[in-house]
Amino acid sequence: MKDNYTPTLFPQSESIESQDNRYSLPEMLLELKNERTTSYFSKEILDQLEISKIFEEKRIARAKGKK
Amino acid sequence: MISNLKALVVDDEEHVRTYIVLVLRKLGIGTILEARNGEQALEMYKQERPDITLMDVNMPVMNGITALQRIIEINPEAVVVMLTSLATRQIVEDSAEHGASHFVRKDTSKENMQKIINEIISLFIDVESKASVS
Repeated sequence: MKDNYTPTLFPQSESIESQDNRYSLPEMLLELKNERTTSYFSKEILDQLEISKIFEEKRIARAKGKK
Repeated sequence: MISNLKALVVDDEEHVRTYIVLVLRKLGIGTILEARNGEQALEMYKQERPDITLMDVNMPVMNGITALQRIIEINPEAVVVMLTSLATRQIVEDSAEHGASHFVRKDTSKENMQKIINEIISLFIDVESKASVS
C-alpha cells in the first residue's frame, strides 16, 4: 500500500476556461429585432386588448420621455 | 366641443368608410372627410389638417404605414389611428413605432370602437380649445 497516494479526479495541469458566448448589447438588440420581424412571433395575430396594451405602454414611455 | 372636431377617414373600401363615418357621427364629430388611399389622405391632411385621422393599413397607391410616416413628418403631433382586419404583431408594432396614436381592429364592435375613439380623443385632443375655432 502506498502512503503518499492521492487520487487525481480532474486534470491538474489544464485550467478550465469559460466557454460562454459574449454578445455586445447592439448585437443582442439586432438579434432580438430580427427575431421579432422574421419569426412566427411577428405574424402572431393580436386581439384588441393586447393592441391597446402595446399602445398604452408606448404612450407611458413617451410621456416619461417628455418629462 | 366634440362637434367642432374634424376627422379624416381613409379606406379603399366604401362600406368600411361608411361604417367608420357612422361611428364618428354617433360620437358627435361635426366634420368628417373621406379618402380612398394613402396618397389622397396625404393631400387632404395637408389641406384640411384634421384633428384625428382613422386610416386603413392595406390600400392601393400608397399604403397606410407610408401615409402615416408622411403625416407624422408633416405634423409629429398628428393623431392617427390605424385600422386593419389582420392585426399581426409586426403591423401593430410598426404602426406604434411610426407614430400612430392607436390601432383598432376592424372587427371590433361598434360600441367598443366608439369607446376606443372616445378615449383617444380625450387623451390626445384638447376638445375644449376647439370651441373657439370653427
